[in-house]
This record gives sequence, C-alpha cells and structure tokens, in this order.
Amino acid sequence: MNFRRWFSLFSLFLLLCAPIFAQNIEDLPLDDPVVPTLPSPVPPERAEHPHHDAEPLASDVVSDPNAFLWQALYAGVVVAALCSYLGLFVVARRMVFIGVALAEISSAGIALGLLLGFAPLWGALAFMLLGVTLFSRRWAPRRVPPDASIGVFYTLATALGILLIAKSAQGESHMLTLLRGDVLAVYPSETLQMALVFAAIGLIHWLFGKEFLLVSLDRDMASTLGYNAARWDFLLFLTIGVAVSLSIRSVGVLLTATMLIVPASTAFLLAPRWNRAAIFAPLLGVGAVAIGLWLSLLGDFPASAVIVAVSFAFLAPFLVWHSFARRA
Amino acid sequence: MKEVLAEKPAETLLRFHNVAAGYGKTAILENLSFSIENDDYLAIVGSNGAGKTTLIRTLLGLLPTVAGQVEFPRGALHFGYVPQLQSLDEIFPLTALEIVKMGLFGRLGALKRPTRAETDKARASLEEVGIGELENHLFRELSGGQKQRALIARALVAEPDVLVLDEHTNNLDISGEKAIMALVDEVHHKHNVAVVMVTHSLGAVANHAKHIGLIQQGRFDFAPVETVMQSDYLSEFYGVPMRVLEVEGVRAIV
Repeated sequence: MNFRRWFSLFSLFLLLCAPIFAQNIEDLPLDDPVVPTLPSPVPPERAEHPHHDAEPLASDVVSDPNAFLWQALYAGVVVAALCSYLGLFVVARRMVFIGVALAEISSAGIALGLLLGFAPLWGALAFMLLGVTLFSRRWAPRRVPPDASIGVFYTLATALGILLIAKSAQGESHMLTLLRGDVLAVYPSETLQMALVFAAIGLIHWLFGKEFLLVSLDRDMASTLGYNAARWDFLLFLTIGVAVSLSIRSVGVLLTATMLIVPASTAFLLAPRWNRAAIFAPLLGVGAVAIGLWLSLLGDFPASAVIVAVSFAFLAPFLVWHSFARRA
Repeated sequence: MKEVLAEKPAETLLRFHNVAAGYGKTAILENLSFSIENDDYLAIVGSNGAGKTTLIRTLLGLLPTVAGQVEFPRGALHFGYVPQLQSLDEIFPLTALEIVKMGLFGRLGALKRPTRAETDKARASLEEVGIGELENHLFRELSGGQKQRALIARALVAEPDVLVLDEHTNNLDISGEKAIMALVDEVHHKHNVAVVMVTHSLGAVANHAKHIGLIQQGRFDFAPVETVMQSDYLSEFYGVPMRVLEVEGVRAIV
C-alpha cells in the first residue's frame, strides 16, 4: 500500500475521531461549570478550570474518592508513553523549539476556542495544522535562520494566546491553567480518547519508523532513494502536533513539553542506540509520571511540577556522569 | 549486490542541455552541457562557493533547473549518494550497519523492513569497503575515513546506476585520501557503476577521473582528463601560471 493511501487513511481516521471529541464538547456551559454538582472523580479544583472542553460523560462518574489519582496516572502514562517516544525525533532533529512552539500555538488555538465559544480542541488542532505546515517546509528567506522563523511564531502564538484569554469570558485564570496544566483534572473519557488517537499514532510510527528515521537523518539521501521527504516530514510533524495538542488539552503545556524533551534526552545518554533509546524513553517518561504523582500525593505538591522535577532527577546523574567522562 | 565484471557498451545515462542551475529563479551556473555514460568516472572540481553543490543537487534531482533540460535517455536512474560528512547529524545513535541498511529502503518501499538476507547484504557491503568488523560500532565513533567507507557502503547497497560523492576526501589526511580514492576506483571497476565526484582538490582526482568539469566564477568547462591536465589549459582557466608534471605515470600540479 503506497504512502498516499496510508496518509489518506490516517487523515480519515483523524476526521472520524473528531465526533468523539465533539460529543463531549457541544453545549458546554462555559460560564456555569457543571462539574461540582457531580459525584465525580474530578477534584474540587476542576470546577475552577472551565478551560476543559470535555464535559463529563456518565462513565466519568465513579464513586471512589481517590479515583481522580488513578485517572491522573492513566492520563499521565498515556501522554508520557507517546510524547517521550516522539521526543526522540524532537531532540535528535534539534527541533525542541518546534515542539515547544507547537505547544504554544495549540494553546493559542484553545484560547481562540474559548473566546469564540467553539470547542477548544478544534482550535488547537487547526492551529497545530497551521504550525505543522509552516514548520515542515522552508518558506522564510534564506537570510532568516530556521530557528528565528520558529521563534517568531512562538512569540506570536504566546502573545495571541494572552490576548485571546484576556478577552475571553473566563479571564486570566485559564492562562495559568494552560501553562501549568492539570493532570489531576482529567476525565476518564478524555484519557480513553487520547489513548485511542495515541495508539493510532504509535501504529503509524511502528509502520513508518524507518521512513521517519531516514528523512530525519538524511533528507537528501531519502530524496535520491525516491522518497518525498517533504511529505514524510509533514506526516512526522503531524503526529507530533496531534500528540502535543491532545496532551496540552489534558495535562498542560509544562508537562507536555517536559515529556517531549527530558525522557528522550535521558534515554540518549542512558542507551546510545536508537532502538534501545526508543524503549527507554517511554519507560523513563512513564516512571517519572508514576513517581511524580506518588510524591505529589505524599507531600501535597503540585503534580505537574513534581513530575518535571522527577524527570530532571532521572536526567541529572547522566549529565554529571557524561560531563566527567568527557573531561577524563 | 550488482557485480557486473564484463565491460558493457557505452550508454548515455544522463544529459545536461544548456542547464542553468541555481535556487528559485537565480542561476548560479549557466550553460551547463555535458553527458554521463554508464562507464563514466567524472570529477567536478571547484573552490568553495563555486556552485559544485548546486550542480550536484541539480544532477540528483533535488533542485529543479532554472533553465534548460536534464535528460535521462535510459529512463529514471538510481543514484547512490554519498553526502558530505558534516551533513549527517551525529546525535542520532545509529550503528554503521544501521546506516548502511538505510540504503535498502528505496527498493524496499514503505511498510517493509529489511529481511535477514537484506541485512546480510548490508553486512557484505560493509565487508567490501573494508570495515565489516565495525558493523556494531556507532557511526559517530568511527574515524573520518571509516565514516566515508560506511557511507559508500550505504550508497552501494542500493545498487545504483551512478555513484555520487560530495567532497568525499574532505578532512582526510593524504593516506586516508589515497585509500578512499583507491576504494572508489575499485568500486567503479568491480560494479561497473558510473562515478561522479565533487571536490575542491583537482590533485586528489586528477589520476582517477576520465572526465573533469572545472567550475570557476560561473564558468564551467567539461573535458577529458587528458585535455584538462595540461599546463596551458589550467593556466588559462585559472588565470595563474600552472605546470602539470607526469612522474612514472602519475600527474601532479605545481
């Protein structure tokens, strides 16, 4: 089956996923959150985070008062497993800035959705697609370095997000939520949707991993072998963009960016082979989420910040070790 | 791996017809007219920034022509491309064998992965270029010459019609340069594959190539090596006095 057919199937899959998201989003009473009235796993602070576009489904209502912690773990594991793997490409291609910029651009899309009253996820996906299109091809004049053109859109998206949030009905509290994220306030249905889409992205990477690696390492070689490098790059960026958009919606910019960067960096130091790093990166990401949530529960710390700290704690010994090894 | 030891009759693989090569609508080199035969051994020589890479990218089809036509009389060609070493980012933790296996991807197509037999073919290619024992070493940990050999193995495993080498002697000492040139000679004869080399060092290729294309300040001269390697010819082309000496069949420029 050729690339175009697979690409079309993937696009179709994304389109088919759209109603799943939409069913939770339509008629969301943004000004009057319904969450606190539900005997739900959602913690009280969820009521203060009406940026969440997903309305709880009946299946989201459970009786276990600690269920929100399990939901946080499930959501964190789903995000960590995929984003940490995708992070190998983000780090190796030196496009960390693109990853962070896509996260910010998706946030601006969420803000637009909040302002105009449509499902924020659509805004995130639309903005992400725009960002992926911009970043997957060289459009700026040659005198403008690629990272500068990415930086322009990063700052523009951040400013746009601030402006849109300031004008939205829910005000600036959303901005803090968007920036810090809230892994403790994820509905089970959100996690399930994320898991399904992420499984599809994982399948795409399992099928086309060698193509993504080839165009990432040597675009010219890929072209001489008959590959349309620009299309493969677009597909790779699209998978990263979709993962980033959905992750931000659930766990926030900070945790998403961390999972894209830190576990992959650690894995490259821990296991200097691509295939082994591809196993270690998700394990490190999932481990950081599990340990971080446990520590946040023990010490009553903000979960996302603790997970970031644990991720760095995994990375730090390898940084020190390799720094000494290089000097020796 | 293609091993055609018998001589094949000369056949034109690629023909440049008054091609202008450049970026967008800006031509860097104009009036490029030459052809490459199936048994050709061609060197394109020019200083940094002269337009060698632009020419090679046009030849590989990575850049559209600004004007003129590139013809493929025998149909589409398989190129075996050996890029400049610095164009590969060594942050990717890939072994020499994994790098060579990438040369198989074009013929495999999407969805398929190299089989055991194809992996053995990649191993054989590494053996052929003399670094079979380094298959599990990280590419970034190899020496400059070993990296070039791995990249030549990657290009060969794709069974190319034309082997294209971009500054393959850069950053090599004199012995490394000679060893790599000897390997390219061997590959050219053993596989009966056309070779196109791009270099800034005329001395490095003068005793190997059959045809030489000289690039200088937008001028492109293409001629047999016997024509180019003449004192008068080089002095006129470069505008400075040059002498070509031949000692025991080896040409040297002073």
